[in-house]
Amino acid sequence: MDKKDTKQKVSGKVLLDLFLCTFKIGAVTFGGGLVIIPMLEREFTERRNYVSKEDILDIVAISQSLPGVIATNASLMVGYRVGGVRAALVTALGVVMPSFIILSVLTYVYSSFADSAWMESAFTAISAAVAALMLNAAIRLGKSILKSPAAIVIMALVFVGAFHFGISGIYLIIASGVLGFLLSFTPYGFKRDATEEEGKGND
Amino acid sequence: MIELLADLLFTFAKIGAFSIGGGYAMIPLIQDEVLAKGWLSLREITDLVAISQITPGPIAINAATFAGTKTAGLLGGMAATLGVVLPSVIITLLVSRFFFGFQDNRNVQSVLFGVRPAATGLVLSATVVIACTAIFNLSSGANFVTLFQSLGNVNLLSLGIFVVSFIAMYKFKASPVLMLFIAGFIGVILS
Repeated sequence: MDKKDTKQKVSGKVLLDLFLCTFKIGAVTFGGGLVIIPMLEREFTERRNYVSKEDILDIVAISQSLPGVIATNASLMVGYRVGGVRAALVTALGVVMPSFIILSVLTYVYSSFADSAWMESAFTAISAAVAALMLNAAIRLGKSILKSPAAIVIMALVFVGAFHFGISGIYLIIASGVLGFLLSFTPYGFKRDATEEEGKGND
Repeated sequence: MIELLADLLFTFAKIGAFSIGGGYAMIPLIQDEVLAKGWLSLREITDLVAISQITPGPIAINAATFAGTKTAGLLGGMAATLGVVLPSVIITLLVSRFFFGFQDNRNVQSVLFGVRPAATGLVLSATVVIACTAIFNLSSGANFVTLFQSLGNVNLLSLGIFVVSFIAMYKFKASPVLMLFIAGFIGVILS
């Protein structure tokens, strides 16, 4: 077990960067839940290289399986990965602040706002772009891990289970985890024996 | 006043602690609690859902801020918002501490071999659900059958925005924030 990533001290500059970044993400994430994932992946994996793609997928799985707000859970985990508890609290604050500011203002003026037809059309158009953004993230994340037939089959089964049959994500994650564990005793799963030499060199 | 703030904090902490799955799974729970306490009327809850859809941020945070601010002003909003995220913060930090310590363990890796493709599948499913709403006007109960039946309802503007913004982001690495703003702008202009 290594402690290098979670125990590191991060500078005030990195904390400020984390705050501004998650504040921006909070301000442009329309809808809740997994919609935040493409934004986190872009800012923290692609542009800053703070967390790996595998980490993002683990965060998707875990943040959905824990109680509470998925977007907050996911931001907390990214923050924790970058710089421990302090960084996690900063990212949580950053991602919550825009909603808080916008809603505390709108509470007083919402009636003129909620009914306007142009907001409705703006929202539909934004949703179409959000779908494109999510597809882009799904492809990028998928590329790094869909390297074996078993992984592709699990992805396809989970997609059908979640989309067509509406099965809750948490059950699909648990079932896939159990399947992954069982597969590691067969040639199709995680290569248990290969980790001895590879384990030292991985990031 | 202090009692009301404490009540907001604890009620929303309870909502935060007992809802798994987030988003719309939380709405019934929020509805029951704020109706029972008399903090919001049914009409206001309906408005809240509409507002949450057109403003950024998770619905639970929006609901907490809305209900708290309506009931007890800015401090109320802060108490309710803090309440709804507090369970997330505590539980997620504990789990992160544990998880990132054992992530490289061989048994954990073999479990993650199954979990990571599953996570990809879930992101893909969330993608298609959102696309169904935006492009085929299929707001609830989306599955392969209803999607096939709604193919005729295609919203060409949304489809165009979807295709163009996907290509812009995937091939040309366009900024997602920029794409969202352009999409919203086009939606308003062409409606």
